[in-house]
Amino acid sequence: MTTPPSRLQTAVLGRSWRWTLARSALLIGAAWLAFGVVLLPVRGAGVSMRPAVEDGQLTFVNRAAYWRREPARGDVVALRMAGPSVVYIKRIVGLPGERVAIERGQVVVDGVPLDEPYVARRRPWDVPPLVLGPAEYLVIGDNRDMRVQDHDFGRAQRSRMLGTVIVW
Amino acid sequence: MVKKGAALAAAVAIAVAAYAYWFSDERQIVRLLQAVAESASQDEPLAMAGMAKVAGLRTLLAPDISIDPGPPAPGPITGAAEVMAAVTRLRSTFPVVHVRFEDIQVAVGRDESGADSGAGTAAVHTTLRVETRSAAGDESLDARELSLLVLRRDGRWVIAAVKTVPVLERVAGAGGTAIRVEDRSNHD
Repeated sequence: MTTPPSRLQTAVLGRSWRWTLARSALLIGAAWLAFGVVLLPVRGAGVSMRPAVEDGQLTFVNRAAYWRREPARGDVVALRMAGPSVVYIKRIVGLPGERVAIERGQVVVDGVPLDEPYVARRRPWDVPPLVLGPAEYLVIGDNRDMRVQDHDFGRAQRSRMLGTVIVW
Repeated sequence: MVKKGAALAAAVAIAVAAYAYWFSDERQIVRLLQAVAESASQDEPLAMAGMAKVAGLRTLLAPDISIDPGPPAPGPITGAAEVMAAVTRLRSTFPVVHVRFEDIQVAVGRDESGADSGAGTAAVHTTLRVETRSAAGDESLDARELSLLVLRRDGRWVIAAVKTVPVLERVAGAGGTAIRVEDRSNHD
């Protein structure tokens, strides 16, 4: 004859401590997989990605995004520095091998103006045409209402791209 | 008896491993960077203790250190005295300065180009993060990827050269200040 578990025991360990342990291990494993391997929490600092990423906004980098595909135009990407602790967030506007220019604020790819619905306002930036190398992407922030001298953008190597930034 | 012997052997092995880890060249260089960050940081403006901390940088830097911050800075900073003067200016401009080195990678026996260079040399790759708060309360964050040359001189590791590694290859017309996004998952 066994003594039934007390209310406290049931509340803490459930009806079966083995199942509770297994469920806890599963939950910890899933959390580690989600937040330790796939999703990297990041906080925006600065205004060059407005309005997609605001200063101080908390979001995540999806590091699984490029496991099965290459970076694409329009992706908001995280670019690592020496490691993943501090990253740049930019948007891809030019792909490897393309000829890209900015004419009076309008991005032009291989002679065709790029439709950028994510840009709210733009100043008349001018960047002479450049041809991207085999592993190079042109990345820019969405806030084109800044002075061009205050906005950091340029060619980024594929090897620096950690994944896509989840924008909501 | 056998159990006691095994436990003792395990304890000795752990102690030896911990000693080797703590006093390894890599750990000494990480502690050197932490000491530099500590010396450059402050939580209150121009305290006397803070000035002493800046003076302590002298033991962490090679006298002929060269720092190339890259554009838009006008040129390299050379000499420990000039570096200390720059740190003092930073600390007098901002009441609160927090300096940190993130993602530190140390390669002992290598120079900045990655070539073999003997046991008294190490190449370090890291991200420098500087957070400041002005007297008006405005906060800013700057981060740069750095490549450092660290040398062992008179039995101590000192920083001999620092170069900025560009994350983006800037195109004509692009600026030098950036949006930077920091991952707070691991460090804050």
